[in-house]
Amino acid sequence: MKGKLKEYIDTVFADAERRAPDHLRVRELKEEILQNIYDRYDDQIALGRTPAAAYNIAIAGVGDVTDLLDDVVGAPNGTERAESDMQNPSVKRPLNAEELETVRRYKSRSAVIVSVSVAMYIICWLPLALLDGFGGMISTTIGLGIMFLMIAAATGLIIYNAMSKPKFDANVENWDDDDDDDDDDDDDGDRKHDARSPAYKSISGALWLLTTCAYFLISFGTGAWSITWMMFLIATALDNVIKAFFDLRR
Amino acid sequence: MSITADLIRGHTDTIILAALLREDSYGYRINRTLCDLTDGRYELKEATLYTAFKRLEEAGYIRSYWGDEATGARRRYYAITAEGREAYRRMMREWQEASCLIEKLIRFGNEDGVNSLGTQSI
Repeated sequence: MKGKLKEYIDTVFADAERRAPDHLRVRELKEEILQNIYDRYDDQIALGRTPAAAYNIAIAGVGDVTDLLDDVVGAPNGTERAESDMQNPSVKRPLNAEELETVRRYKSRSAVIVSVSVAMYIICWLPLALLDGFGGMISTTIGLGIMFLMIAAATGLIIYNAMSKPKFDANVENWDDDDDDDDDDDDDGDRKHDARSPAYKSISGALWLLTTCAYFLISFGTGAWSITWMMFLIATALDNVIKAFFDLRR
Repeated sequence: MSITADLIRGHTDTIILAALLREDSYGYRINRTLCDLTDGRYELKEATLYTAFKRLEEAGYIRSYWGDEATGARRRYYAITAEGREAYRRMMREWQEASCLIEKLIRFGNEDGVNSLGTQSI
């Protein structure tokens, strides 16, 4: 969460830093204000607020520093002001033609990749069923091998699809508006701040599919239905570990 | 609250100087002091606080220096100067004079000396 506070201050100071690179007073001011909001955030956490609520309170305490920064580095002239409005993260520009084309290409490619992956998940049991018909240990093993290869390939495709999603600079409108179907958000805070990374979403999705596949396979194979449900508990734990990993990396 | 905020805004400099009279302090701690003093009803935005710091420093009423914390984060401390103490005393005199005048003016016509809240006047 401290990283996000730093990010926020970075955007607030971006314009002044661009107009006056390496300005000593701007650098010092940034360090001071950043330290203040870290302190405020820590205090709010100590008061028992959730990280999202503490983040919002810490950010709200900053106020509008535009005039102060203009005062320090010298007010921008008209054209620069217009440009700096563009840089303001709250005023987002729409996608241009080239970016729209990139998004369009990505969306059609993405549709193919996801469809193929899902199809692979659906028919992955087929080789096993067919080869199992021949009987014998070897054909069953081969069938199982092909099945897991198909699952691995489908998972890989979905992850690749999410990782290769086009990204534009921060001041561009979010084109991906079906992104907010977040499931189990633990914080009562603003959803926007808690959007998980696409990579996490794909890995988590794949994890649950794989768990379900493995659950049925092992249960039918061993008949140990009384214990195999534990796999879902393990999957939940794994899912949370992955979530923590992605949160920490930010 | 917004009326109170408007009334207080003109005294930001006095408030900050007053907070520095006792000891040197840094941005967030000054704010915490003000917040604790008013049971959380008054707190400065960073933007207001640092605009005031800049103004006061340029007027020579305060000076600042980086603290040398052995542990934890680096803080910039603010200290009141002799001119600052002088300015604080002048601002206090002005405030007392103004509040005295305002008190008289807004009570005019309220003969029984009791304001609308029902408290006894001085």
